[in-house]
Amino acid sequence: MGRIDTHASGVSDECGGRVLIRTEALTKAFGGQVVLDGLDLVLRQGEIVLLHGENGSGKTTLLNVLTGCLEPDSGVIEYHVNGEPRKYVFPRPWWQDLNPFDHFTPEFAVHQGVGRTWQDIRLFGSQSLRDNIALAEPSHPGENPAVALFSPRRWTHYEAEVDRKARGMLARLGLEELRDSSADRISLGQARRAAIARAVAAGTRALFLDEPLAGLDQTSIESVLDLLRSLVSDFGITLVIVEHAVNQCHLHGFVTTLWRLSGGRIGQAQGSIQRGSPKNVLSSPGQEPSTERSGWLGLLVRDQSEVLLEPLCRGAVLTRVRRPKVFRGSSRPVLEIRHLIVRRGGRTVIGGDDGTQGGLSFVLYEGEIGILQAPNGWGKTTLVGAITGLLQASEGDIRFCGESLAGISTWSRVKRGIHALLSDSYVLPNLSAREVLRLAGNPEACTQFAPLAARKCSTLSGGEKQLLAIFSQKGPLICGALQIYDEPFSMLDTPALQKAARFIDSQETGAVLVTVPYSSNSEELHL
Amino acid sequence: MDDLIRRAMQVFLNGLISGLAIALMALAFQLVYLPTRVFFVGIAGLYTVAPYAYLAIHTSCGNVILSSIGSLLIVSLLAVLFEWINHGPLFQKGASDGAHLISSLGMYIVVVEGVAIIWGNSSQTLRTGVDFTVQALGVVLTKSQLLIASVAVVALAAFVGMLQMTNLGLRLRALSANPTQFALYGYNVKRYRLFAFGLAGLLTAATSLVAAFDVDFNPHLGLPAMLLAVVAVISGGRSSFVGPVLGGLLIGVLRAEVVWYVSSRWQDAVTFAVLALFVVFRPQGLLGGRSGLELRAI
Amino acid sequence: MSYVAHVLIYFEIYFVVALSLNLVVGYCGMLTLAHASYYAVGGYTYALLSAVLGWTFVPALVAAVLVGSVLSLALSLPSWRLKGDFFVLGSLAVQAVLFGVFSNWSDGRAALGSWRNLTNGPNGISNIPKPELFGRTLTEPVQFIWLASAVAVLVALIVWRLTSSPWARVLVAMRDDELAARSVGKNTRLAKVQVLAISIALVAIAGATYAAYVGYIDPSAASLDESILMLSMVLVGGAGNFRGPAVGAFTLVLIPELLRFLRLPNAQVGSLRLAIYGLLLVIIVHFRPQGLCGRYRLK
Repeated sequence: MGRIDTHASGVSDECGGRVLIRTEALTKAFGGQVVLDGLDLVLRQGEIVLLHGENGSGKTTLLNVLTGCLEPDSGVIEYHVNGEPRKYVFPRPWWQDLNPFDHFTPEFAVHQGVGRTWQDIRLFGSQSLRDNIALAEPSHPGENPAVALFSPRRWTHYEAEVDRKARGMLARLGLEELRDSSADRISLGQARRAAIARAVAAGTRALFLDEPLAGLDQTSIESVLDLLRSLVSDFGITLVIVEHAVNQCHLHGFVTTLWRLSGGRIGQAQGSIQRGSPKNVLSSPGQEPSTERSGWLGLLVRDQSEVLLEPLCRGAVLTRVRRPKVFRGSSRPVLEIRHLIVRRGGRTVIGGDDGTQGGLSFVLYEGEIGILQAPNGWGKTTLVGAITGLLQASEGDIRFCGESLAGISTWSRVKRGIHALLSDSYVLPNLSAREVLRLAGNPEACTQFAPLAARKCSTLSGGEKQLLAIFSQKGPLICGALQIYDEPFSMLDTPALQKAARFIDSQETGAVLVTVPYSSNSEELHL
Repeated sequence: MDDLIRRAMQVFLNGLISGLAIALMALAFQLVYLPTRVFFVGIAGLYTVAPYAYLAIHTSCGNVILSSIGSLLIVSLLAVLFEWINHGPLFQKGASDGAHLISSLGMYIVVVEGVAIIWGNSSQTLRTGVDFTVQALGVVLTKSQLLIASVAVVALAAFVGMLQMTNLGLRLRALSANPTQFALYGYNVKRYRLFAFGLAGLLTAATSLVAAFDVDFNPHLGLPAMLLAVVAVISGGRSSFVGPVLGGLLIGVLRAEVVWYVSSRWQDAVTFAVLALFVVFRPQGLLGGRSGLELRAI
Repeated sequence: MSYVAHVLIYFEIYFVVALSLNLVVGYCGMLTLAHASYYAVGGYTYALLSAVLGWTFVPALVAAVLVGSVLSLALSLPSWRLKGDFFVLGSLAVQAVLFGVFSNWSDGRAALGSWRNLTNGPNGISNIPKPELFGRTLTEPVQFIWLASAVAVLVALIVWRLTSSPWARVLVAMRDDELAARSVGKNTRLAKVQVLAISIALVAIAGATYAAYVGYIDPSAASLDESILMLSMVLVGGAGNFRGPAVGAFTLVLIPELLRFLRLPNAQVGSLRLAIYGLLLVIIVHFRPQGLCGRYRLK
C-alpha cells in the first residue's frame, strides 16, 4: 500500500503545516479500468502542490473526487480544512444519503473549504463578472427566498458589502472595467483569473486548479501566476495544481511539493526523475519541441528525407518531413490554411489574440508529412475540426487541392479525400472491430488485427482502440489525398507505435498532417 | 388449481401481447433518440395520424391492404418531414435539447389539432363487426390480439435482422454509437437521420393501426402511448435497441397483472411508480450501461 | 363593459400563471408540463373548502397555496435526478397522475368532499359561492375585477421582490451551469425545491381565483392541453422578465376572442387556438428563441 510520498524541496521534513486533507486507500474504476488504486495522500496547509502524471493517469479523476464531484468506489477521505473535521467513508451505505445534510457533493466540499477551478472555466455566461463573484459569497441571507420576500432590508445591507468585496477583488485582478460585462465576452486569461477569484470568494482554503495555464500566452500566464502568488501570501490559501508537462516549467520556484500520479497511486514510480527536488521535473525543457530523431519522429523519417522546421504562432512548430521519392516539390499544395480564425463559444481559439494579425496560415504540399507540435490548449483539435468541417471557421479560408472548403459538409470533404482521425472520439462502442473495419471500407485489415477482430470496441484497451482507428483509415473507400491524425500516439506502446508509424509512412500519395503535443522527458518514448 | 393457472396464463399472455405493442412503440422512440438524441414528442402526433390516414384512404378505395400501406407510407413521410424541416436544421445550428423538445411539441400540437379540426374529437374504430376469438390450451385470444402479436413479432424480427445483418443496420448502429466518427467515415449523416426518422414513423404507424383495429381511437391517444413507450425505454435501458423492447414487454405484463388483480384505475399509478423506482435506483435501466464518462455529480 | 371586465379578469389570471411559470422556465430553464394540474389543485382546494366547508376567500386561498406547495415536492424531488428532457417526462407523469386523481376520485353515491368522493370526478365541483369583499358579494365581473387585480398586483410584487434578489442570481447560475454553481457552494437541490414550491404556490392562487370567479371547476382545468398552453404562453411571450409574461398572457387571451370574432364555431376555436400556439412554438424556436420580449434565449 503506497504511503504518501511527497517531496518537499529544500524545506526540512518537519514541513508540518497542519493536515488539511487526508485520504486512505482511495479507489475508483471506470467500467473495468482502474484509475485510482488504493491511493493515499496528505495535503498540508501552506503547501503548493503540483499534481502531475501521464495523460490519462487519473489526475482529473483525483481532482474530481477530492472536490466532491465524483464519488470513489472505496476509501476514506478526511477533511480538516475548516476546523471541524469531516470524514467520508466509501462506499456509502444507502441510508446515509437519506440525511440531506450528510452528502458527498461539490457544495458540501465547498463548505469544507475545498474549492476548484475548471479547465474549461465555467463562468456563468449570462451574468456579469461582478455577479459571478458576488454569487460565490457563502451564506448570503438574500439567497433565502423567505428573507428576500419578507425582509429585504436584511439582505440589501449584506449585498452592499458583498458588492464592495467583489469590486475590490476585481480591482485587484485589474478587471475593474469589465465588472459589468457578460462573462462570456472576456479573454481566456481574464476568464481564468476571474474563475480563480470566484473560487476564493466562496471561502476556499484549499484550492484545486485544473490546468490553469493551458492555452494562455506568456503575459496571461504571468498574471495568473501573480494572482496565485498573492493568494498564497495574502490569503494563506493552499494550492493543488494539475498542470501539463509543457506548462510545468512556469511553476518552477513556486511549487513546494510534488505529487506524481502513476499506476493509480501517488508516490514513487520507476524512473530516475522522481527522487529529489522538483527542480528536475520542472526545469526540463518542456517549452522546446523535440527535434531529436528519436521516438515517433524517427519512425516517420526515412533516411534521405528532408526535415524542415517552421515555427507557427503561439509556440507551435510545424516539422515538415519530405520523403525523397514521394515529395514532388512545392508546386502541388494539398492543404492551404490562410488567415484562419476559429471561435468557439465567444472565445477565439485559433488566430487572434496573440499579436499575429490575420490568423493562422500554412501550406502542406503533396508528399509531405507535416507534424504539428503545440502545447495543450493551443487548439490542435480545433484546427482538425475546422479542416474536417466539424467546426465552423469564423474567418479565413481552408483550401484543399486548390478548392475552397467553405460550406462543404464533413462527409463531402471525406469523399473528396480528407480523412481524419480524432484524438479521443473515434470509438464506436458496441460494434466489433471487424464491423468497424467493414464500415470503414477496409475489411482486409482484419487479418492484421486478428485475434481481436471479433471483440467489441468497448472491450479493447486504449492502445488497441487507437491502433484499430489508425488501421480503419486505409481502404478503397477512403484512400485520400490528405490524412490527418490528431494526437494518434498517446496510448500506444512501442511495438504498436512502430506499426502505426509504418502505416502512416506507407501513404504514397497526398499529404499527412499529424498533431502531437509537446513531450516532456518522462513521456518521450525512445527506441 | 387448474383454473387458477389458466387464469394466470391468460393474464400473462394478455400482458405480453399488449407489451409487444408497447415494445414496438418504444423501439420507434429509441430509433430517433439513440442516433440523434432527440426526444421525439412528435411521435405522439404520428401515432394519432395513422388511423385517420387509413380512414381517409379507405373511404375512397375500400381496400384494407391498400389503406394500411397508404397509412404506413403517409406517417413515415410525415416523420421524415419532421426531421427535414425541423430537427435537421436545429441540429445544424447546434440547438439545445430544449429547442428540439419544444419544437417537437409544437409540431405534435399542430398535427393533433389539425386532425381534430378535420375529423372531430369523438372516438372511432377501424374494426368492423365483432371480434372473433381463438382458443388454445385453455387461453382465449381475440383476433385483434393475434394481429398485434403477429405484426409486432414480424416487425421486431425484421428490425433485428436488418440491424445485425445488413450494411444499413451496421451504419445505423454506427450512427447511434458516434455520429462524429460516422461522418468522418464519409457517410452522409443527414441522410441516415432521415432514414431513422422514417423507420420510426413506420413502426409507430404499425403500432397505432393494430391498436385502432382493437379499440377505439381519438386524436388524443398519442401522448399516453408515447409516455408508455418512454417508460419502457427508461426501464429497459436507453443505450441500446434491445432494452426498450424488453422494457415494453415488462410494462405490458405488469399492467395486465395490475388490471386483473387490483383494478384498471391503478394501471397508470403503478406504471409511474415503476418509472420512479427506476429513475431513483437504476437510471440506466435493466440493460443499460453507463454511456460516456459523465461527471456524475450526485 | 361586462365583457371587457371579463376578458380583463382572464388576462389577469393568466398573467399570474405566466409570472409563476416564468420563474421555473425562464429563470431556471426547466420545462414543465405539469403546471395546469397544479393550477387545478389550487382551484379544487379552494372549491372544496369554499363550497363544502364554507370558508371565505382569503383562508381558502391560503389553504390552496399550502396544499400546492406540499404537492410541489412530487415535481421537485424528481428534478434532482431528471435532467432536461427527462424532467419534462417526469412532469408529464405528474400531470397524468393528478389528472387521473381529479377525474377518478369520485363515487356517485357519496357526498362531495367526503373521503370517497373528493373531486366529484368528471362532473367537477359547481356552485362555488362568490367571494365576499368588505361585506359585498362580488357577483358581477365589474365587481370581481377589483379582486382579480388585487391578486395580480400582489403576485407581481412577490415575483418582483424575488427576481431582484440574490436568490434569483442563484437560479440563473443554476441554469447556466449547475455543476459550476454547486462547485461554488450553492445548494442547487434546495433551490429547485424552493422555486418549484413558490411557482406552484403562485399558480395555485391563480387557480383558486379562477374557481372563485367562474363558480365551477372540473378536470379539464388540469388537462395536458392547458399545460401546453401555459408553457407556450411563457415561451412565446418571452422568459426572464416582466414584459414577456404580460405579452404572453395577452396573446393567449386575445387569440380565442379574435377567433370568436371571426364567427368560428366554438368547438373549433379551441383546436385552432392550440394549433396556432403549436405553430408559434415551432416558429419561435427556429427564428426567435427569446420569444417576443424575452431576455433569455432558449438557444
